Amino acid sequence: MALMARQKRHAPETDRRAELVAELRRAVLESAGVSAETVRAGAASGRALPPPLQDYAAKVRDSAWRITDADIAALSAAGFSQDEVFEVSVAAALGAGLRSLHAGLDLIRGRGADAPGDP
Amino acid sequence: MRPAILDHGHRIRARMFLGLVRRSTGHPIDPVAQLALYRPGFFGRPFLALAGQVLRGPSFWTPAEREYLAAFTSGLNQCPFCVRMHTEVAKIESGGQLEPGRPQAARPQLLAVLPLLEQVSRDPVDADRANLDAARAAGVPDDAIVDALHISLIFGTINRLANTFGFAWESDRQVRLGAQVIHRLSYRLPGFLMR
Repeated sequence: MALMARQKRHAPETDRRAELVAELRRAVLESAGVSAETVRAGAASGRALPPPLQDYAAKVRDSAWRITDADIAALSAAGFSQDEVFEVSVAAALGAGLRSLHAGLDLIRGRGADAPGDP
Repeated sequence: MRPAILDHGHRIRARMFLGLVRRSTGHPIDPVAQLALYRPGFFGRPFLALAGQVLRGPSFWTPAEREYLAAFTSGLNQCPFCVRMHTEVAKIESGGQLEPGRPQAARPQLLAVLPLLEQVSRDPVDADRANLDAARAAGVPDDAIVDALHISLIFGTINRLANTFGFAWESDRQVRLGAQVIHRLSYRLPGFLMR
């Protein structure tokens, strides 16, 4: 009973946190922006994007510590606005963060590496 | 910061606040706050709302232990900017007792969850159960493991943005000031700037 009471007390906090994760995901990936939602979804998940964005988003997700001024300058030179760079960067970073969260949650729920959560 | 719009593109109320902070402290605002104040509805507002809940809301882990996990995750993601800040905050929150990089001061459960966090940060696709089982065997409840995984989400995101946008500290003093602000405000910024 004590355990049940503790879990009951914890449940609203867990729900609140899930709601906050969903709000962050919606704001970054589904709100009105200068970039298309499909572009942000691709940056987050790794699905195909046009060449300069594809490589850039992969770099943000997988080796952001290697990004330099030259990467940002290359996107500007290719015609992307600063707000597009901002949005795609945030989407890619959040996608990587969600990938880590879901990998762990799937293990806890008994689902293995074959069923990663969709960012 | 890069792109430059993150330095100069804020709305007027945020620009006034950035100027006020610089004049009153002698340093620019914490770069994470500066990012959060740019188009706050797109990222900063929901991100800080989640960060506040995860890092200071109810949890198995003390605030200092969560800062320890934050610094650890930031190291995995090669983000020295965040390692520096959250090492400082961990020390403040623990009264100097807990310091990232000094595992002898940490309780065993905290150390037991680190391999799982390392695995989901470095290789989420091939994550297997061994590290989860080891954390459970060491007495870490599932709720606490889920709490720790949310720290991976928060820092997996902000570490990448800090590196992408070129965040840097001007001095140790700026880090100490920033850590005190996090300690006092628990990851909140004034509401009128975030709307």
